[in-house]
Amino acid sequence: MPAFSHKLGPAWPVARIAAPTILVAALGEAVFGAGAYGWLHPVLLGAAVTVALAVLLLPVFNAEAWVSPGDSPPLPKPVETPAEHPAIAHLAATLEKAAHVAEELEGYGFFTRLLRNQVEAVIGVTENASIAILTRLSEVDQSSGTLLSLIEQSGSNEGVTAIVERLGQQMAANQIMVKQFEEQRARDLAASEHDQEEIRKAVAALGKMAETVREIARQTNMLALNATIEASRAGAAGAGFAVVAKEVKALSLQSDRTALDIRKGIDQLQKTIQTSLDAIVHERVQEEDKTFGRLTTAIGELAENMELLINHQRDVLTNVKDGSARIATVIMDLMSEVQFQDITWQQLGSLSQTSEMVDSHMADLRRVLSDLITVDLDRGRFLETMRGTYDSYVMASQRAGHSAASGQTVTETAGPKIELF
Amino acid sequence: MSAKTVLLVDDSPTMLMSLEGILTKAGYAVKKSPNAEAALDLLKAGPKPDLMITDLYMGAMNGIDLIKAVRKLPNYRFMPILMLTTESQQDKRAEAKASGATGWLVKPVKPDELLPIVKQVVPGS
Repeated sequence: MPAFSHKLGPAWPVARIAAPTILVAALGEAVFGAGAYGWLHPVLLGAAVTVALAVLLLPVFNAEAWVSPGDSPPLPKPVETPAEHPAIAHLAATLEKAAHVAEELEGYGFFTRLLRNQVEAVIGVTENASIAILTRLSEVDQSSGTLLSLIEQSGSNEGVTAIVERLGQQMAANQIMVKQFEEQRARDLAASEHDQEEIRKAVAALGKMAETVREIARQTNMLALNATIEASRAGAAGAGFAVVAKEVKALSLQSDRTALDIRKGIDQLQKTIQTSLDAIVHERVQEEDKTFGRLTTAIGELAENMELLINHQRDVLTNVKDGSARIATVIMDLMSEVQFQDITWQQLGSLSQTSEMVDSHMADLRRVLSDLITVDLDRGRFLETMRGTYDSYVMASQRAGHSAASGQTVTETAGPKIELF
Repeated sequence: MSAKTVLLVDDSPTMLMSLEGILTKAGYAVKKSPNAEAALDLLKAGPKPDLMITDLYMGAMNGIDLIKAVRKLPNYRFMPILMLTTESQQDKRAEAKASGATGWLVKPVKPDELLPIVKQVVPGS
C-alpha cells in the first residue's frame, strides 16, 4: 500500500490510533475467550499486542519509502528525525519486544518437542518395565507350577494311599509271621514235652528192668543160699558145690549192687535231662517272649511313626496346594494390574498429539511475528483445533478431563464394563 | 480334551502378555497378533481358534473393521469375538455389535471378570 498515509491525509493520525486499538481488541477477545488455553494466555496476549503494534509501526517507518517520485503532493519534511520522535522511539522499542517474543516462542517449540520426547521415553520405560514384570511373573508362575507338580508326584494322595496299603500289608505279613512263629513254638514245646515223657517212660522202663535184675539177684542169692545149705548137708561130697554156691551168691550180690547202681544212674540221668530240658525250654521261652515283645513294640512304633509321617506329608501337600493356588491367584491379578501401562500409553500418546498441535500453532505464531504483513492467522483456529481433539479420545476419563479444562459440563453415559450382545 | 484356543489381537505388547498369562494359567492355548492385518492372516491360515479377543484402536485397521472382515471369512461367521478396549462410549458398542462382535469389555480387565465371560462364550471350556 504505497503512499497509504498520504492518501489518508488528515485521517492518518486517527488511523494510527484506531488500527492498533481494533487489532488489540480483536485479538484480546479471541484470546481471553479461549478458556482452555491455560498457560498460553501470556504468550498469545503478547503476540496479539505485538502484531497490532507492528502493523501500526511498519507504515510509519516506511512512510517515505512508500512515497514514489510520481506521487503528489509531496509530504512536508518532519521537523524531527524519526529516531528522535518519541512515538517512533516507543514503537521501535515495541517492535524489538515483538522480536523478543518471537524468540521466546522458539523456546516454547523446544519445550513441546522436549515434552513429546519425554512422553515417548516414559511410554518406553513403562512398557519395558511392564514386559519385564510380566516375564518375571510368568517365570515365578512356571517355577511354582513345577514345584507343585514335583510335590504332587512325590506325595500325592494316591501315593500316600499306596504307601499306607503297602504298610498295612507288611504289618499283616509280620503279624502272620509272628503268629506262625508262636504256633511253631507251641508245637516245639509240645514235642519237647512229648520227648520228655518218652524219656521218663524209657527211664521208668529201665528202672523196672533194674528192679528185675535185682529181683533175679535176690532169687539167685536165695538159690545160692539153698545150694550152700544143700552142700553142707552133703558133707564132703558137697564141698565143691558149696564153692559154686558161694560164687553164685557173690555174683548175685554183685548183680544186685550193679542193678542198684544202674537204677541210681538212671534216676540221676532222668533228673539231669529233666533239669536240662526245663532250663533250655524255659530260657528259650523267656528269650523269645522278650524278642517278641521288642519286635511287637518296634513294629507298633514303626507303624505309628509311618502314620504320623504320612499324615504330616499329607498336611504339607495340602498346605502347598492351597498356597500354590493363592500364589496363582495373586500372579493372575498382578498380570492384570500391569494393563495400566496400556491405558497410560494411550493417555500419554494423546498428550503427545496435543503437544504437536501446540507446537504447530507456535510455529504459526512465529511466522506471523516474522512476517506481519502477508501472513495471517485465522482467529480462534487453535481453539477449534483443541476442541476437536475431544473426538480423538478413547476413554471416558480423557473426555471428562477435556470437558473440565474447557469449562464445559459434559455428562457421558457409560455402558457396563462387561456386556455380552 | 485339547485346550481351547484364544486369539489375542492388540497393538500393546503389555496387553498381549497380560492376557496371555491370565488365559494360559486358566488352561487356554493362546495365539497373539500385534495388529488386525496379521490376525486376518492367522485366521486364514488356520486352524480356527475358539475365540478372538481384539482391541478397538490399532494401527491402520481397527477392531471393528477386523470383525467385519472376519465375519466375511468362510467358517468364521459364528466364532465368538470379544472387543476389549478402553473405549466405553455407547455408539462404539453399537457399532461393534452391528459389525458382529459377541461382547464388549472395558480395559483394564481382571481375571475374575475376564475368565467367566470367556468360559461363557466358549462352549466346553
